[in-house]
Amino acid sequence: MAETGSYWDRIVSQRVSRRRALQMAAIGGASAGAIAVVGCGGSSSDNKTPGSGSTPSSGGTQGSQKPLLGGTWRGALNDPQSKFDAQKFPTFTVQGINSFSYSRLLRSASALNDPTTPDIDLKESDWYRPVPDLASKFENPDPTTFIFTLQDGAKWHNIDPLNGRAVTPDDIVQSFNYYRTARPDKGKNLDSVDSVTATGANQVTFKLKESFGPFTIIISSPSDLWIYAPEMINNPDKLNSTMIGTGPFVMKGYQQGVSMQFDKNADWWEKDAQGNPVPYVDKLNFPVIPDKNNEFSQFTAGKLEGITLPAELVDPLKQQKSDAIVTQSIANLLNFLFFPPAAYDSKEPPFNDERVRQAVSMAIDREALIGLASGDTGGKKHNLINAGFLWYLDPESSQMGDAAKFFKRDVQAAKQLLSAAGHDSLDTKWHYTNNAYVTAVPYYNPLAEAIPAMLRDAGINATTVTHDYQSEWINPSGGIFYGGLKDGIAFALETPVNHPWIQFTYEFTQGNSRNHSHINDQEIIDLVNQIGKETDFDKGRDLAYQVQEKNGQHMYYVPLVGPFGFAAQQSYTRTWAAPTSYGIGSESYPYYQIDTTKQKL
Amino acid sequence: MTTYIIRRILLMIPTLLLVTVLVFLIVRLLPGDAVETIIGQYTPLTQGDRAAVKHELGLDRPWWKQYGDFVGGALHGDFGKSLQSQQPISKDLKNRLPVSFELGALAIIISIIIAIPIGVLAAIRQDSILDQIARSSSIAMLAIPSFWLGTMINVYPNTWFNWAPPTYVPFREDPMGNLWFFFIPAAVLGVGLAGAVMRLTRAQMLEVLRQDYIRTAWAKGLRERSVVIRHAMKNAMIPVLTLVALEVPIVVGGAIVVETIFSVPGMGFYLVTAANTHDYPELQAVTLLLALVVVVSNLLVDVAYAYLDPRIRYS
Amino acid sequence: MADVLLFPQTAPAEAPQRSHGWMRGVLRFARRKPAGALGALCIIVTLVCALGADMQVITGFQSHAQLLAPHFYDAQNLHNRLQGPSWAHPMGTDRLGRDQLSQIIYGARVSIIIGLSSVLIASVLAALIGVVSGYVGGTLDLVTQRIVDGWIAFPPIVLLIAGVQVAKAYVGQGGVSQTFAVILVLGILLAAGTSRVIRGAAIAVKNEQYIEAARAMGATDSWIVLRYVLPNVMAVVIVLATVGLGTAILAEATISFLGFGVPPPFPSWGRMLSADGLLYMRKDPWLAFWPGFAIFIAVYGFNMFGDALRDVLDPRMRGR
Repeated sequence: MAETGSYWDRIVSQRVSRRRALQMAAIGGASAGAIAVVGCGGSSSDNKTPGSGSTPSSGGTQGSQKPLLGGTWRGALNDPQSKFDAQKFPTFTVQGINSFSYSRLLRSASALNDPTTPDIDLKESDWYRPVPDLASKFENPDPTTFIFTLQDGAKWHNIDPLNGRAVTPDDIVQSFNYYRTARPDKGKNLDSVDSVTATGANQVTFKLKESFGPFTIIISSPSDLWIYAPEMINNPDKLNSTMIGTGPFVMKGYQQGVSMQFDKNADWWEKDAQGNPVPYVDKLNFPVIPDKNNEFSQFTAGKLEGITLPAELVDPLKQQKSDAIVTQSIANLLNFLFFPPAAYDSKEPPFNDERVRQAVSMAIDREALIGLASGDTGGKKHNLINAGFLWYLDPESSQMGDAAKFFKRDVQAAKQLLSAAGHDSLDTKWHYTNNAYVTAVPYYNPLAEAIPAMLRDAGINATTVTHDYQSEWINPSGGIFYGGLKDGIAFALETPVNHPWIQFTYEFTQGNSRNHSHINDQEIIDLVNQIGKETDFDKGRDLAYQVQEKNGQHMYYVPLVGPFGFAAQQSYTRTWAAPTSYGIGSESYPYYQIDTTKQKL
Repeated sequence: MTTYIIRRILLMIPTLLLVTVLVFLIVRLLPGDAVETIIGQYTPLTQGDRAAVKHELGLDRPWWKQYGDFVGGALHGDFGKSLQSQQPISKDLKNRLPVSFELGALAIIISIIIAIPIGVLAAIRQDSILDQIARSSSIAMLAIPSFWLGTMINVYPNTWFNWAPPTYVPFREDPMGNLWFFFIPAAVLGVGLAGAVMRLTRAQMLEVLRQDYIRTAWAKGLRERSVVIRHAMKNAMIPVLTLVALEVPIVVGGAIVVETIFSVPGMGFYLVTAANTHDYPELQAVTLLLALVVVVSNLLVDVAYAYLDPRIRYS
Repeated sequence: MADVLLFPQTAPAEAPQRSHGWMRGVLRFARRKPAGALGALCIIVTLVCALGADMQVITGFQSHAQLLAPHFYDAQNLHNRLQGPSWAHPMGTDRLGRDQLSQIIYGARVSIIIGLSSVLIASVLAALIGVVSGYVGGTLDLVTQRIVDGWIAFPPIVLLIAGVQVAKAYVGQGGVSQTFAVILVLGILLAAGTSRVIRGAAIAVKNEQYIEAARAMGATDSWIVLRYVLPNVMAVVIVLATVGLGTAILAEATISFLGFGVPPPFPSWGRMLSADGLLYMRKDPWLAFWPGFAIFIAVYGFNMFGDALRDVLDPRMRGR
């Protein structure tokens, strides 16, 4: 949330966790957890080609059961949404809401959840696989040309001023222009695009300046290019106060702080394998419920179909409502420690010495932190790419080489590293923001309170200093998150982005505001540039592994833990899973099903 | 009387002006630049961007001009646009203010229903067991943290009976459902308020019961019921009603915790968000509005006082 | 605000009598005001916890040995998390495996520090404004009271949230300065209503005949204020302070609930309840019960005692 979520989103919301948002459960809760636990390396790499061109296949695999049709899906909206323009306000909550009513050219693959297993059931090979959304297919005749063909008969919602008119290639061109002008970062992720032109009645062509590996993944990412009609773009107030798009759901009403309702878009292009039109449900109703205990009560009383669950409420739910389907997934949220920019800018001790940074990492008991954060249900150790992402390298695997040992707690070794660096003990500060994630990421504050005692065991006495999120943490001039850390160690959360190239560009390039510590390592910068150019998925992933290994060796960022997160749905429902994201509204909700005979209204 | 009212209304003006100055100052003293904290959080801005955004939001004008616009706009009921959502603030307030008023009104009614009978009884039977219990429990009600009580109501009936608190429905759609929705948060708030009201009722009743005219009433051989209700209560209640009126703003603007726990779409949470996000126009609008509520309820109380007790008018 | 009306705007005509022996006074108070005595007992328990959690206060920071609290508030054991009540941990352990009893005892220290300091600030400020405004009267009174009007009308929650942030920016970051910011803002907040009551009392005293007599004998204004007005107003100040202590403790709990209160690792009852307690209410109810109960006891104690004190100090209530 630190970087994309606004404070508004967070506190009022009480708060959609970024984690949950990413898990596509942000809105309305849904089981559909996120990303299954990733095994490292191993499995057949041939089909792990989300980036490779060719015509995308249909969205997700179809369950064998006959779909249940109709009904109203009810889920809690934790955030009293006040913004709808995802280009001007690119926060995960705005993007998540956009995905109900708007389309992208491509979206990510999704799959039916098996209610009998707690993990989500999207094949690893399908993660981030771009599948058709508004574009029915794309061709990639040469590395710098992508030709998208729009869905036949795609129409805007039948609401004034669009009144169901057909989608034209020019709409895409205009949306791209808007993406470049309205985004605060001027659409940096797609800087490699040279031109976008309508090249046919139903065709739009993207020309790139140079070959760019992450292109289709970024096009399919809900964090980037949304397709808005020029009529809306030219009316900023309307664009920011309602949604009239091409997506699976038509926004019916919204009262801030009360509820948001959608009807299914009967004209949506998608059909399932048996030819049934999707969305399956008739309506969505999301009352605003900021309090987790209240949301839990509504669910157990049968008034909601799906919720997200803090780890603390999993056991009570199983006791109270044993038939509820609970799904679990690694919390898709990066957390790490970083050090003052001065350590790299002016070699200021003590953190300019990588042995001190390594000692900090070795002082931390990650297993205990996982237990603390997940309510003893488990999780994984993060690397610089968080557990649950395709590009994640298990920090204790052999590919990490020597660096693997820094991810295990070893107080003696940490002390030795410290004294080798000339410190018998170290007095420093421990910085975090204590008023931002209380409900959104309930495990952040406990982790922040637990770590100093671990550091103390290794002789690192870090005095806690808490910070106001808005004024001291993400304040771009001098905020700790944006390079304003003067001394000590900072503990941060960050939204992972869809592709490691974007994330590494943020974290390692000079002058990037999200290079929190002003790290300047030419080796890593070269690797990152190579990732951007690499169009072969496996090779790109190997490069991403190398960056993680290098970071682990130097401990520029000290990655922490990815605990399990939970969601619950009623026994009479079926949900779909997608790998990330803020794209929940079009990747998963259209396939949600309710056995209306068992639903209590 | 008219002169008195006019004088009181005139006295409101400096108070409200002072509030506008205070809120105008305090939001600008907040650490961090508004533009940066609001727009820059998506991506840090360059100097040029920052200047452009500042200009667009009108934050580059001299402070006295900004202040003038704020006060001038407020006079027309125009509070401008929220920096965060870019939506007109008056639209949000129009939805939220009535909700807070309903919550506040119900809370006050509940507190009166609890407090006044107990307060009167405690006074009549001063230092009896009933008095001790009533006073202890009234303070107990005051001492329970509302977020503790609210969460318990949220959790335990659910654990035992799978019960869930109702969710908001507008009054015109379902009047009974609407009242039922407000009843629980209003009761939590009302219990907290009842303590103070009960204490004051008791104190005032004790005061009045010692007055000569009450002794006269007793001497006339009137029944207790008649003395207490017809003679004593009537006079004792004036300050109590003052207190009740003074509670209006507390309930309207300060029910944040209860609003959160029971998903009440009122002013409290809006206010906290505005304060947290440094949304100047929102913060200024809400603060001014709440201050207006305080000042107006004070005025009404004073006028009622002056009406009932002519000595005040001339002092 | 409520308290404006709790105290009829006339003050005792003579200074409070102090003729009883100390013990006799206490006993008499307990006999006449059993509820007030119960309140005093709650206060004593809270105070004892605050002072005696460890040896720090008692030994003037020479020793840090544990006394009443079995463990240091920060002592965590992640392998001993969320244990139910036991002999080793009578109130169980929290999610970091910290002893809940120790945290509650240390929490009393935080609450008392915040309560006492903010009430002290409020009382001094309020007495100053109230006495001067009430005693001098005239234009000064008119202007001052309009300022107090604005001060009272200003929504407290805005002052709390924005004020703590502003105070932090000037006082500095870090646990101690943030706590100080909370104290400062709470003090300013409490002072407004209190100053009104004191002003009323000061006006009443001013019009007493013995003040006129003193003036006739050539006493200066400052002498009159120090010798007659202040002592007479003191009773009101003390009573308001006891009630204000409860209010401050409750307010600290509330802003900690909103994330602006006393920062970790200092144990605050409000934060214990909001950060850990409420989410665990279903699973580990003791985590919510004890901090809530502690807040309740402290607030109840100060209010109950203040109430009884009012009866005793208000001469019109005497002998009833």
